[in-house]
Amino acid sequence: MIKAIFYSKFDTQEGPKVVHQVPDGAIVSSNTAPSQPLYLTFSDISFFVIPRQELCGNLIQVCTNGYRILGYPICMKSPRYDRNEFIFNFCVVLAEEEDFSSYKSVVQRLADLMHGLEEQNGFLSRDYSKSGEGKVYSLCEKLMEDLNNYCECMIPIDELNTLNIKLFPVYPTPPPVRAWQVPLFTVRYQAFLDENWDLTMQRIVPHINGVNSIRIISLLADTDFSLTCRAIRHLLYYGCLILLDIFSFSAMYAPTALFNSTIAADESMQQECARYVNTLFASPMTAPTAPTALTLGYDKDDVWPPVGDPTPSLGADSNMTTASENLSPTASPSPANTSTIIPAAGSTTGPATRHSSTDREVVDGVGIVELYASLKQGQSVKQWYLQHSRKLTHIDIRRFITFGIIKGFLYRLHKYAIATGNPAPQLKSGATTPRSHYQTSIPSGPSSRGPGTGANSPYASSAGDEPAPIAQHHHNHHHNHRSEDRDRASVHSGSRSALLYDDEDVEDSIDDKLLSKYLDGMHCFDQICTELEVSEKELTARLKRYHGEVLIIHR
Amino acid sequence: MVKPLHCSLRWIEPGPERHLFSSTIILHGASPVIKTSAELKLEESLQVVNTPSGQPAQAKSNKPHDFKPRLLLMGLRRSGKSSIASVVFHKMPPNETLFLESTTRIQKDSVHSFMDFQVWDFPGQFEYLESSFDLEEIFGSHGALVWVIDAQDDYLESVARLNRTILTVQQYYPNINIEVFIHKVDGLSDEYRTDTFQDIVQLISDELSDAGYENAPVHYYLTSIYDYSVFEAFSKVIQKLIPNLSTLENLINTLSNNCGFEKSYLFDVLSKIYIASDTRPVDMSCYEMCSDYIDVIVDISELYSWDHPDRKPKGEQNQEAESHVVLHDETMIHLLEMNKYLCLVSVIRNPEAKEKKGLIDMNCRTFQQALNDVFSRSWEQEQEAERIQNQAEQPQIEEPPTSNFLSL
Amino acid sequence: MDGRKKKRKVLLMGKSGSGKSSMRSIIFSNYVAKDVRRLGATIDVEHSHVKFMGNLTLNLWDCGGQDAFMETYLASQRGNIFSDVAVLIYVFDIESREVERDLDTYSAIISALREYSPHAYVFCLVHKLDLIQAEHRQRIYEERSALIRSRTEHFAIDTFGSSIWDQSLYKAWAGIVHKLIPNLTVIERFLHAFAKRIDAEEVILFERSTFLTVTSVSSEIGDLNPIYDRHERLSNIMKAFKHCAARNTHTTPASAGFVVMHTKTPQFNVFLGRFTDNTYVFIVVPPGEAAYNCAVLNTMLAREGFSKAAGAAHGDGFPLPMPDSPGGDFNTN
Repeated sequence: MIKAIFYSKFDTQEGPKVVHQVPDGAIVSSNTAPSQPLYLTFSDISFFVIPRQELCGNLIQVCTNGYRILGYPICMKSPRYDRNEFIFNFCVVLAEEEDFSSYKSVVQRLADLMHGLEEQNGFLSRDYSKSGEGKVYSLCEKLMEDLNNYCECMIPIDELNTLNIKLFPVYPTPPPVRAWQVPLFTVRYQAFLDENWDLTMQRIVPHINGVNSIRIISLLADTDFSLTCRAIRHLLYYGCLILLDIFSFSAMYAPTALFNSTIAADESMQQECARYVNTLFASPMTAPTAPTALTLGYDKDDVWPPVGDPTPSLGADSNMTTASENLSPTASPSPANTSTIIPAAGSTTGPATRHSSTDREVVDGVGIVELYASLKQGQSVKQWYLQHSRKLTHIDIRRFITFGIIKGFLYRLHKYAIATGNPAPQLKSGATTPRSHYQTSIPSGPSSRGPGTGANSPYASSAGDEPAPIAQHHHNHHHNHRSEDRDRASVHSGSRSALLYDDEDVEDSIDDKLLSKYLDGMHCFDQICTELEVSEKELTARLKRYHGEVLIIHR
Repeated sequence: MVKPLHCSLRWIEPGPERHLFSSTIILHGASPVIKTSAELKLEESLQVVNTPSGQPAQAKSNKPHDFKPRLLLMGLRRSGKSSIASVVFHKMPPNETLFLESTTRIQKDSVHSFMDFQVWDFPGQFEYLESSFDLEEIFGSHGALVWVIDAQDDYLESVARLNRTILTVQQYYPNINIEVFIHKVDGLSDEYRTDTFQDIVQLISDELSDAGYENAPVHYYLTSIYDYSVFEAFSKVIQKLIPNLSTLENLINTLSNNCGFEKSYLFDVLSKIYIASDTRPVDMSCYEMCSDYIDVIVDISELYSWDHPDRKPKGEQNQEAESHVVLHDETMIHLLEMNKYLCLVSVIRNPEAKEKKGLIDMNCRTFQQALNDVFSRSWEQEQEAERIQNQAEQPQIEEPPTSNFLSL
Repeated sequence: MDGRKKKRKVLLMGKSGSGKSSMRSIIFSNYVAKDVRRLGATIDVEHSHVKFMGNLTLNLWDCGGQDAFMETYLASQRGNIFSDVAVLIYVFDIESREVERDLDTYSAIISALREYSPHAYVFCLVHKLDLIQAEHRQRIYEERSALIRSRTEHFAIDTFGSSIWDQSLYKAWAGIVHKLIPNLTVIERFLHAFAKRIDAEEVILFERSTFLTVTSVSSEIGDLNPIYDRHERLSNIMKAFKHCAARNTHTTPASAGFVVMHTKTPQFNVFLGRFTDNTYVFIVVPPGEAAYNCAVLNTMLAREGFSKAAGAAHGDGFPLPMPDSPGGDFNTN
């Protein structure tokens, strides 16, 4: 609530002076409201309201007597003014404890407008009306009334100028986003997307699915990377997004301290989780959205409506098969040849899926908690899956992990590589403790890949949802296949890609010098892979051939 | 611009013909002399009474009477003619010219200096070309027509009138110099200034050549009374009227080369018009410093040249004022009184100049002699008595004795 | 007054628009008179430290004169503003139409000063005299000056008429700094002895950056000079030329200056040169080439004597030799 608005100027005879005040008698005593107690003593703050010339043009706030005064003093220099200057300030008075962030733009906007009006026709300097009268006064009065009542105002001033002000909530600036982060909508963007949106934004939103990293999104949408980052930050600012890590079966997750107080104790969260991860509810075509959307006022019973292209395009499918040939783990999760429970490719309606879900008891709350609790350090998702594959039959693994991340009771153990500076040990260096998990898992052939068997593996959903290149891309980062390298290279046309395409020995395209930049323990594998555009496997292989000893640390 | 606050020149309201006696005695603390014709006449008659056999008064010039060029200041009304005359010849502070009243009759100022000349300030509405006026009376004498155009105003009418004037005048007096002052440029931006200049030059020359007058001897100057440009312009105008300018320039060039002067000016002390300078191109800053330095010396002299019987010299000294100053960046400004009217002011940017001061002085004295030779020969008929005496010892040579300069 | 205190608080007060900041800018910041028209109003108090004579720092408080400011000076800021004041400079605008009101404000300031700095020295400048017709100036100035004195209580006071357009400004400020330089009598004694030795009509010491007259001595004959305001006129002339030199050598007025100036005319000879780091000496001697050269030489010697003394005194204060010490080095004529 605005307590008062006043217009102050520097009078070359009298000094700083309050010309108009709303309400009357709030700042300086007035004849028309004599008995009013003043909010504050103007002379105490006049130095801040009308500061010396160098400070003008800045937002100034001062607190006194339990009030906060926000102002934006303006000093206009021109020989037409007495003493060559006209200094004025429109100030807003708030309660000191009130959040004032949204009022900053109000005073600045007001100052800018008045500056313009004064420049055009001396709107302020030629206003000789008495205190409490005249155009400037009624403007202040109306402004305060409208902002307090409607949080916005539209006050016509003359035939050319209108004062338009709206109180916008102000959020903290979101942190900078990284290429390897994976955005996920918490709202359904389709509900408010319109053609007036920023072009970059319009192009990238269809690719935001909780799977694609920001780098991939910018490649798929063919948008400039930095613009993509800005658009993502914009969405982040308004809370439309949350940022996840790149999901991979080789990644490790572990419960956080929040585990006991959230999922372990909260039955409704368990149910929410069950609904979110159950593959019986989810169509593979579903654009993934964070589960928080449910709590944000959507009907809880409403399962994700199928959006996007309900039928996976043939092209995508065929592309997929050709791309994966027989070695790709994506071959098996391909929706076409697995699921017997649900016609994955079909455009099942909400009620239908709900109906089918009632048939089968999947995993109860306790089971979910047990599953989460069994995630631990030193164990990749894949290993964990192998152990619990039976229980996980109808669980979308990616969603399952993501849910924990979003709710904050799971965290990702990132991998970091550090060059120790020692000469490279003999080839079996991979036997260093943290690395061993990884080392054992990577070389395993695709046939042993448990995750590949599920019809609703995360890849399936992303593959069905998006045109082929996405799947290839995605896989390329986490699984690695030479044939896919080719496909990936064909997706984008950069020179490096061309090189990759031609060069069978991919690793050699990254020289030690470039690589060494990343080996200071400050860069996680996700980052290195994204920035060097290699898969994790390639990276691991490349690290083995690094000229010095490299330690890999999980934390 | 900083103008020292000395204003010891008596201000005579426009109206009567004013006589201005330029003299280097202002370097000795004396006030410059300005008189009306009436005052002069009265003095003359009084002097005749008091000293019947005495010398003629100052007004009786030691220069030939027939050699009195005339500068005719013309232009539309309010273009700044009277302001120019007041600032240059009457030392009026520029900001006070705002209060000058319009000129309604021809205002004549006679300047008595190394060369006598007259400045006629015409009223703007004056119809020079009406047959009722005696063109012979106005343009008859040798001189220059100075046309002032207000660059801040619409100048088309002024240009048209100037062209009519030129076409008329040049039929009868093809030798008169036409000088165009594009005036009040202080209010214009640099770019606009150049555009205006080019526009006016184009307009005038086009129209003149349309009228069949090719390559008219018209010269253009950008001027303002708020800086030194108007003095610079007047200097150029006057220089064209000096018969032996090239000799003077040769002399100064020789001196400057030998002494390593960056620039050297021969000033008429009171008007601060320079009648000659070496021919090196420099920016206006040199002129500004030299001109201001004259002010400094004139002002200091005014403070310390009081007369008292107890004030006695303590030894021999040259009777001509001499001064030099060394600035923070080792620039030296050197000033030397040359004769009754002129002084030489030079700028030397050579850190060693301080040590070679003696040589510089000597060269300047040699120059002084040569200069006075040049002037004495052109006015041989009427010499002051003492001058003639000095002259008798000097051989009458064709070229000044430049070989006497010593190189630094 | 505490002679040892090197930082002197100087209050510059007066009604708004009376010309306080203008004169401060001209004297201390190398503004030229016509440029001060572009200055804006002073808001609240503008503090500046003016170095004068090298080691004397004037702590100049330029106090905006608007009514609202005046009220706070006298009320909430009273102790802050008026304590430890060495000098109060109060500026009256001669054109003011509210003389009585101005004097009331002045009285209020004086009583605040009495409360916190009873030993301060007061200077009142009756400013903008150029706006009064020349023939009335003296009379109006004296009338105003009498009124001011009647309101000054016990304080020691000097009044000056001044204008930024002529030398009167330099006169007023020379008078002010003269009061602030602690060991002036010693300097003056020295200059007397020196002037006598070289037979000078007049010796003037100018402060280097402001060209204000620090002090001057004249011989019996020199005293006969009918031009009384010559010192301030010299300040004005030299400072104007310094500006010209700065403009044309592409430097700032603050860094422009003179190494030396000689002028010889049939009536007098003048030498101007650096004396100490912070002063110029200006010497007027009668004509006579030999005597002049000797005087110049002696000035150089005296300068060396000064700098030696300065070194001995650890650079503290104006180098102060014993009144007769440099004399021993002089050439006699």
